[in-house]
Amino acid sequence: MNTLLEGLKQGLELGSIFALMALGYSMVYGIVKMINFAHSEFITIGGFLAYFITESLLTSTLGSSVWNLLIALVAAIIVCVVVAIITERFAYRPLRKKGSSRITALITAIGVSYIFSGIMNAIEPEQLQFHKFVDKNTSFYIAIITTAVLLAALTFFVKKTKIGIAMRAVSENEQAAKLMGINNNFIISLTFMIGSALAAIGVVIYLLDGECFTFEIGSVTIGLYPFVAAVIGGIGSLPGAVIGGFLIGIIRAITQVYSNIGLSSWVDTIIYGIFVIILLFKPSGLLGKDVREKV
Amino acid sequence: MIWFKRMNKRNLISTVVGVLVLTLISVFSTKSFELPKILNLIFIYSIAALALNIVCGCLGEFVLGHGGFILIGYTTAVLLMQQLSKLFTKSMGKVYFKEMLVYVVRGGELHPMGYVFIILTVIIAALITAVIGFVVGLIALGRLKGDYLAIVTLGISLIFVNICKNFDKLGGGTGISITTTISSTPLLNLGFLVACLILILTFMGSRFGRNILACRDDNIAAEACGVPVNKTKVIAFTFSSLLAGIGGALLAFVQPQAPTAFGQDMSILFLIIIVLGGLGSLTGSIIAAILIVLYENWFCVQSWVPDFFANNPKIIYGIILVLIMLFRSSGILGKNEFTWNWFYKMFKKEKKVEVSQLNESPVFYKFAKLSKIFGIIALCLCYIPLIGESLAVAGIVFGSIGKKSSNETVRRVASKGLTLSVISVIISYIVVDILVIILMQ
Repeated sequence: MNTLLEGLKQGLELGSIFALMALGYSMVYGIVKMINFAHSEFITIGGFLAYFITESLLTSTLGSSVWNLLIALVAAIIVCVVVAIITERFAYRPLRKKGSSRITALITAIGVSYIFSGIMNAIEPEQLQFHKFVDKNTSFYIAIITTAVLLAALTFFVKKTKIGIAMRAVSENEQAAKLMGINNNFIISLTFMIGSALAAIGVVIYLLDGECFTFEIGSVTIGLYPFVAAVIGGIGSLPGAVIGGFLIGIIRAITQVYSNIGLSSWVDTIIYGIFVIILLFKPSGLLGKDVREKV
Repeated sequence: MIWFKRMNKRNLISTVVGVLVLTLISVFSTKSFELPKILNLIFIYSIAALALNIVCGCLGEFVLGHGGFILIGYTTAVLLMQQLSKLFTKSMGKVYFKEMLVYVVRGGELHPMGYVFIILTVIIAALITAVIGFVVGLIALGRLKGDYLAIVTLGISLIFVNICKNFDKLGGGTGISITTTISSTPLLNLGFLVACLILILTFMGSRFGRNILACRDDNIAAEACGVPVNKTKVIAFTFSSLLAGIGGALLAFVQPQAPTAFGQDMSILFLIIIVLGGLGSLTGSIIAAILIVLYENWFCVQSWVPDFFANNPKIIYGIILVLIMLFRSSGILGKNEFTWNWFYKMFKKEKKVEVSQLNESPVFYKFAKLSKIFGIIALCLCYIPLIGESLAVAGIVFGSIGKKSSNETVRRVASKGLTLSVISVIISYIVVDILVIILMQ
């Protein structure tokens, strides 16, 4: 990509993908106040599953049609959701029951992310290439439209439906929500489900135009960027995650535009530098709430 | 140095004997090929784990960016050595210095002046790392807490890795290493570990150390009592990065690595070490560092271990982390340290139990006593292959049976026997290996 306009377009596309994944981080943090490091592994699992299903269906009658992709997408969503529910049930819920500190939950999340990353590495350590379904222009429109639709659906869900209101209640005050008759465990599992489903959709859109990827796609290639985006935008706030996602996506794309002056190898420093600076001046992120600590 | 005066004679002698034994092992280990590398890594990882434990365990602030500071220590040490060797071969015409450097370069027995080089390099690298740690602590620790601090320090360490990757002089893709074949001996690393331990004990026993511990328990209460919380956090962070710099600089002389190896993976490895050993426990992190280094370098390369363990370290580390957090979140030692008092209590006699007053089968008491006796004997005779191990196994079996008793004293005796037998099993493996290596050459 050589022009700034193309860079902006790529940035918007990447930004929408990052926004989808950052929503997962934000929603989970909003509900259980825990940063789910394993989210990057959900992304990897979704990507791998979509790849394997598309590869195996390519030789069948469906070929490289849209149905192939849709089946892979649905399968990826289902598997990601199941993995998220299992993780939450066996790794996070016992800690919540015991009443452990947040650091313990954070360390467990890192451990879970390591386990999944190791398993993915053992299954397929080499680089794979996703089948090219659409070209770059179409993938741009697909990304933007999908993100917009999903965002609208999510906002409607959280604001108007009963379950969405229950989610907001649990994130505000768990005890009071329990007293009101809300099944906390179910709501928390549901949040994990939605977050990982969005991550699966995001990664499939990312891989749509024939990207190469390895088992590290969740943790290295895409991995920490949605996380940084969620924290910049204010973790726990949905619009913040979206804004953060677009910000990171545009920065990343612009640094790649100017790669002829060697800027692309500095992309890590630039993004983490902006991250550190924003957090220093506004510790709860751009749109986050500043919670006063009570004695 | 009040902790020094408070140790009673028995503990002091035990510590000195322990250090002497380690010194002898380090000196004689150069005869083997594998042992010096393992000993070096044990000592270096212990220093770095202690550094992280001061911030995470003693201060209570969760910091994920340890790898970055180790990288700074490593890079500074390598650059310093490169400049030093250039300096001496260029300007000094004196044959003495050139000969000494050639001596050092040939990788033979290290000339005493070579030690001075290494020590100077390590100290300077550590001071530079401490300055950078001071700056980072100043900007990050004052405003951020908890999860945010962890992520920001992770981001900062990734920035360091990225900078080193981009400048070829600082590392590039493959990393720089000390081109003179100077390598440090386990004795030097042991010396640094002992010096760091003395430094840490003095620091933690002083006013600063108490401030740090106060901040861990409750920030606001500490501030209300007059502890300058922000200043204390920055001091602790600077001290921790000083130690991390020492560890990184020593690592430069032992194992050349690329900058990318110091990123997320290394930070999380040290996190695993201190969580395994117990947050806040200094001896715990040393024990855990020994376990992890032995796992990586000895267990994984044994022929009777399937390849799965060596090829997938991440899965095993992840499983270890999750299991610890789910079942024993305080780590092996928790907040306690390994003290000689605890060790010597194992051998003390318990209060006599009236067998007729037990309302259970007297088997438990007999087994418990037997297990303690077996444990003590096994500890003495553990190097005799068959007898020692069978005694220890018998001790373990009897001890676990005895622990099921309902009498408190019987349970205590049984647990003592169990601990002694387990220690003797561990020592039998290690001591036999080391003796074989030392005596075979």
